Amino acid sequence: MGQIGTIAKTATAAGGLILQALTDEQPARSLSRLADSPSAVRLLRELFIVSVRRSFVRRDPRDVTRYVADLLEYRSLPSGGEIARETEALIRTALGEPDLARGIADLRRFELSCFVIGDLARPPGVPQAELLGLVDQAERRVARRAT
Amino acid sequence: MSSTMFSGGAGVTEPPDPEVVVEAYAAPEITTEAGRYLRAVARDEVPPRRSVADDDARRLWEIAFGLAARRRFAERAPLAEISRTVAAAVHEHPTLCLPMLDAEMLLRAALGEEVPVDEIDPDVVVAVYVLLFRAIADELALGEDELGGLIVQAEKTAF
Repeated sequence: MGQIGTIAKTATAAGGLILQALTDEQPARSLSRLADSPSAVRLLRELFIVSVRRSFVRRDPRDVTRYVADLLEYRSLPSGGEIARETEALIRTALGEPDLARGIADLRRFELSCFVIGDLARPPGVPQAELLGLVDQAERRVARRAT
Repeated sequence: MSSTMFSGGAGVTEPPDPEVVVEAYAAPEITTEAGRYLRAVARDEVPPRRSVADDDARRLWEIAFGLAARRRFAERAPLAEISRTVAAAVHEHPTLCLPMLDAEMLLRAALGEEVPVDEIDPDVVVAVYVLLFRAIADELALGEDELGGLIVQAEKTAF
C-alpha cells in the first residue's frame, strides 16, 4: 500500500512506472522493459541526468571511475573493459563532457542509463523522499523541454 | 629583480655563470625503424614507408608513450588537464574517429592509474600511443635532442 501511495505522488504515469520498476527484484531490467513507452524513455533520460548531477557534481571526477567499477563488481560484471568505459562516458556526458559518449548507439545509451538508475535501488537505497524529489525534478525537465 | 618565463619566479633569477664550458654533445642515434617512424610523426614529417606495426614496434611505442606521459603529467594530475590533452589530440585527427575515453584511459593507465583498458581495439591502442606521443611531445615543446633522447630511452627499455 505504501508503494501505491508513493507512485500516486508522481505527476505522470511514466513517473509511476519508473518508481514501480525500482521496487522490482531486478530494477535495471524492469526499467529497460519500459523502452516501448516514449514518455518513460524521455523521463528516464532526464532522471539519469538529474541523478548523476546530484551525485557527482563538485566531486573528484575520478569518483566516477571508482563508482562504475564498484557498480559492475556489485553486479558481478567485468569492470575492466568496454562496459565500464561506456558507463563512465555516459555519466561524464551528463556532467558536461558530451564528446565522450559519441559513437554509443541510442539503444545502448538507454540500457546503460537503466543500469545506473536501477542502482538507485541498491540497498540501502536512496531514501524515498529523495527518490521522489529526483523523479519530480526529472518530470519538470521533461515538461520544460516539451514547451 | 624581475622574473622571466624560465626563471620560476622573481626570487630565483640569476645571471648565467660565465665560467660554464659547454662541451660538444652528440645525441644518441635512434636505431630502429619504429623509433624513426615515431620521430617522424612527432616532427610532422612523412614517416618512412617501410614501417610496420609489428609486436616490437608496438612495444616500443607503448614505452615511449609512457615515458612522454610521465614527463608531461604529475602523478594524480587533474583529470581535466589530462582530458584536455586527449581532446586536442583526438580533434587534431578527426578522420580517425578515435574513441576519446579509450584514449584517456590508456593515458591514465600509463600514469599508473587502475582504469578499464580491456577490450580496446589493438589498432586504436597503437594509434593512441603514436598520436598522443606526438601531442605530448608538442605540448612539452621537446627539442630535437630531447625527442631523440626519449625515443632512444624507449628503445633501450624495449630491446
